[in-house]
Amino acid sequence: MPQQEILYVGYRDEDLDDGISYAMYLSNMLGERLRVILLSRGGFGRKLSDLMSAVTFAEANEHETAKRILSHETDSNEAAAIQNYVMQKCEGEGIEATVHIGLEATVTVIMNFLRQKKVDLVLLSPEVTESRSMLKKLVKSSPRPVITMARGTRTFIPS
Amino acid sequence: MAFRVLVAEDEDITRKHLLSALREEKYDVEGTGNGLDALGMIENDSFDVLITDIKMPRMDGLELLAKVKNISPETEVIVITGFGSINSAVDAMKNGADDYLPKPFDLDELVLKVNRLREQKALKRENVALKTYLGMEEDISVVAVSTSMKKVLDIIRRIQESDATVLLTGESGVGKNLLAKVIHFSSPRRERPFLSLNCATFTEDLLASELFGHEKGAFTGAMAQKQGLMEIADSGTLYLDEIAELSPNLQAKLLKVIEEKEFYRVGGTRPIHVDVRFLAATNQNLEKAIAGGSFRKDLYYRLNVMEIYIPPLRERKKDIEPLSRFFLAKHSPGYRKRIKGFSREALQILRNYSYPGNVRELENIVERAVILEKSPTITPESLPQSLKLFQIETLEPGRVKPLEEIDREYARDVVEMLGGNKTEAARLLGISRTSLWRMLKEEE
Repeated sequence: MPQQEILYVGYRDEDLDDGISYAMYLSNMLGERLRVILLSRGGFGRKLSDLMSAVTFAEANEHETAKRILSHETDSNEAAAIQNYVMQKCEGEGIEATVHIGLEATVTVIMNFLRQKKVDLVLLSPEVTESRSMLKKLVKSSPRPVITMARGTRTFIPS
Repeated sequence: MAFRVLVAEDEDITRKHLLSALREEKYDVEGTGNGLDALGMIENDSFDVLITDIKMPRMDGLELLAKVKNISPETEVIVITGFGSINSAVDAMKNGADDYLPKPFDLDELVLKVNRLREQKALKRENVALKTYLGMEEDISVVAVSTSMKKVLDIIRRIQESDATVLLTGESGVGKNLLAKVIHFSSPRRERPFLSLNCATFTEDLLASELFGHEKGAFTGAMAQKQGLMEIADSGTLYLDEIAELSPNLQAKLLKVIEEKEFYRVGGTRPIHVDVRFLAATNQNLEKAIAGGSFRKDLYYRLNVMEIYIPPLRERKKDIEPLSRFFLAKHSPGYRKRIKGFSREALQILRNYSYPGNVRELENIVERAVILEKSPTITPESLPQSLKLFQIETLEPGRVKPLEEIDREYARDVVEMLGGNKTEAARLLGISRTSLWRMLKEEE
């Protein structure tokens, strides 16, 4: 049965609970499916960081660990653990969800989902909201409303 | 919709008399001299009533009756029995005949029976429509304090005598379904059926069958003939929600119904004429869908005779408080709670939230708070955690707000935050009290 979805976009290494909890709340509230995309920050910085870690382990004669880091074995185990965690959390609340992990953090990736799936709302995690360049591009090109989450409520402090 | 009668009678003179008497009553009538042909005609076409003699060549009336009730249960059957043959009348009624007429009969009596069946059928159709309607919300209350919602209601009031197709647009949860009911129940069709269908909840084949009905054997599983919502909604209103989800094939069929007021059941060969008013709704941008090739331009123009845009709740903040009180009054009795209202802090949180799920979400928030609250007023503790921890904003692509509107919203928030102290608000905003007053008055 075709049904509309809430598309939640976050980073896989950010605190999952805050954003996912709100995504689940919205999903329950609107009676819509939840699609979770957890992006990898990727890029040269991450590759360099992996390489440096591998070198450190290799120098300490922990060659197996260094190999695992370079082969991204740890990476895929971690991804599977995150996926299970999110799926279980959603199942516990009776929410039908699909989780995608490890996609590159680009607007094109998100736009592809928007084109292919029946997305009602796009919800951005607090850290994706903070990434102003991605937010700007998304709001410009998304065909659906974009919801942002920023830590802290709107308050006015009279002087 | 013409009422169709099939007469199966082997005696030519009797058949001719029957046909001519029924034609005089403006029925759409066809006749045949044997049972087998009659069965073939019902298999390929749709008839409201079959009048059949018992004794006929190739297939007798009782066998025909049994087969018709199997393939087309909605066809009413009147059996003409032989003189004094009580047994055959009893057999006919046992086999599902709706009425019988012993020979020799008076033509007026037969016409009377057909008239009665027509009335019963109309009542049955209204019953189905009523049952469908009763499955939906029973009360229609629209809370509108904001200027933008008052404008929406004003448009609805101005078109209440019209029969025009209306396209309701707006985000999920803004109240499109509710307003569709308001449009129907304030129209001249208010006494007639109001049916609604969400186009996103069915696959294409199922949706076609729901909308247009089907003939027996039209597809695997079509065990009997079925009326579609188009037929049931005849003389009333059919509300199609999430219209953008219609497949290109169904869009073409819908366009034909709107333009020509007729359609074919799935697997049917005879056009069925209906008089239905269409209301449609979508949360999608149909113009973009047309540009992308997924929605027909001609259908869009047919549906969009009148477009009513329902603004999201975040753009009509004035409605938040009255709506919250309305939902509080609606849900408190159900949970046996005597909650009088909202604390100032709770209202502040509710006003500051951006409601991606719109009015539907506000109702859920209030209902949840009613369940959780232990004090006589709703406090922030019974509101969802996310509303307190995060600043949620909804950004609508392609919709640029004028700076004036943003200034006004900000000024209003500051005034609210200061408990209505406009002098202090004006001082903080760095404008005169008169400018602030003018700014807020424009919103009224």
